[in-house]
Amino acid sequence: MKDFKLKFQYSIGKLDFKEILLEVAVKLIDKAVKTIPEDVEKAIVEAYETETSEIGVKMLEAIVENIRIAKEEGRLICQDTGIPVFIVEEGLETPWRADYHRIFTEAVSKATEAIPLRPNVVHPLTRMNTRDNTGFRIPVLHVAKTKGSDIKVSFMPKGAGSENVSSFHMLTPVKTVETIKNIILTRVVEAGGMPCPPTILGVGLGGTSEEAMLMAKKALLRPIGDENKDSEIARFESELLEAVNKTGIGPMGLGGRWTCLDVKIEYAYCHTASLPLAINFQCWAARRASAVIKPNGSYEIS
Amino acid sequence: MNLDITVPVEDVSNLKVGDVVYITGLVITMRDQATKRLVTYFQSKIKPPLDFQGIPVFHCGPVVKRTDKGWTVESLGPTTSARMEDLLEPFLKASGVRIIIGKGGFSEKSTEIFKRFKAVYCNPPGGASALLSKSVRRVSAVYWLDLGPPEALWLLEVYKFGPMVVAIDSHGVNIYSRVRESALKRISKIVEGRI
Repeated sequence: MKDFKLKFQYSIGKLDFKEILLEVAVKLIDKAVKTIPEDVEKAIVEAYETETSEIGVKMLEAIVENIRIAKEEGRLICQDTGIPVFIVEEGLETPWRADYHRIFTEAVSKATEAIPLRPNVVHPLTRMNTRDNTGFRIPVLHVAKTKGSDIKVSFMPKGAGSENVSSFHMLTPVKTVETIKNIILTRVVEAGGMPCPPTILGVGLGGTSEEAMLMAKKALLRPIGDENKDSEIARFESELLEAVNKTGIGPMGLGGRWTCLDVKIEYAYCHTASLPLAINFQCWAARRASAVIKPNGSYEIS
Repeated sequence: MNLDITVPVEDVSNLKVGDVVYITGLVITMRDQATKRLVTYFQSKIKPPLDFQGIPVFHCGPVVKRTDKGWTVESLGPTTSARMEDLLEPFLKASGVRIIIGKGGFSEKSTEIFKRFKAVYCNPPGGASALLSKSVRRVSAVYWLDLGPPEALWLLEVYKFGPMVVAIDSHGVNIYSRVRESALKRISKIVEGRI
């Protein structure tokens, strides 16, 4: 133990990692609540151009207009600025170390006042509002170790309309692909207009109950058009997308061709006796922003 | 059909499912906690802080900012009305409200309630708050801030607020349940690859 040297650092020279991370987090929040990722915007415009129902076209037209106004005038995309969720992938070789939760809490509180965001966070029983979008265990934070020397921070403000219809199903292993498809379609139909369709569906398949839910949430960070690396899973993703768009639920649940913009599946192996299935809905306002922080403290936001 | 509506609204029987409407005048925002409190007030014969007669109720929790000149609305859009479904009947009965604005609508069991109280449900695009907030002229009043800003009652003056689709009318038509029922019937066919 005598030779043990602390390799991780809070600051190197003049660089203070706490300040860098705080700056990154505030920028991510600001970007995420005011702009829609390019891939999502492209998919919405395509939906608008190819929607067949008159009401659906009216809704999508207003949504396209909304995205433009938000971008041009720096307004919020949606008034439900959600519950703050941070997902961190920390490279094993990074020199940096930080108390993520403390720094993200400060960032959320600052952004809530500066932007401003809607104060959404309350105690689960008393419903007392904390007024700054932070609270016990909020922001939600998931940290995972990964290869390399970068730290990737992703921010997802998750609205309640889509989060409230998300679900978990513990299936028996003899259930088939058809059963999975049936459950997902039924959930989409039951959800109707509540999650603000056209949605993006995050699906977690396998693992354990908590792992499946987390995979479903993390799947939503993948851009539209990105296919799962596993070809069989990728095929299932496109099959599900096609199936969901045959339900006719349509934009805002008012009927039409576009119910869903994309389906993303993340999977893990699971117990021979179980088949966990998690579904996390994302509204059309699929807000997310990420930053990659390099070992020298520089960062890039996307 | 595109229609401009001026508040107060007493008769909505001319509105049909599929019509696109824009509202000018007052709207009052309301969601879970305020709806619950109001229904308790009505049932206990306590006078609510304002008269709802003829004013559209908007299921919404706005983003507000307090400035030197008072409150401003930074952003607003519809929230999911289904959470208020259990209180729909006592609310419509006691309030005299004829227009409810929100997203996601109500289930088939509420279609008859809208018919009975001669009310309609209008759906603006969910999440389109940058667009919708442009039509807010000013905050007229706020009540029940103790519930927290998103849950308070915000009386707003709006100009050509929309577009909104009439999705449940006073004649017993409900788009959501129609779309949902037809979708439910399709599920097994979709899974089996028959459509």
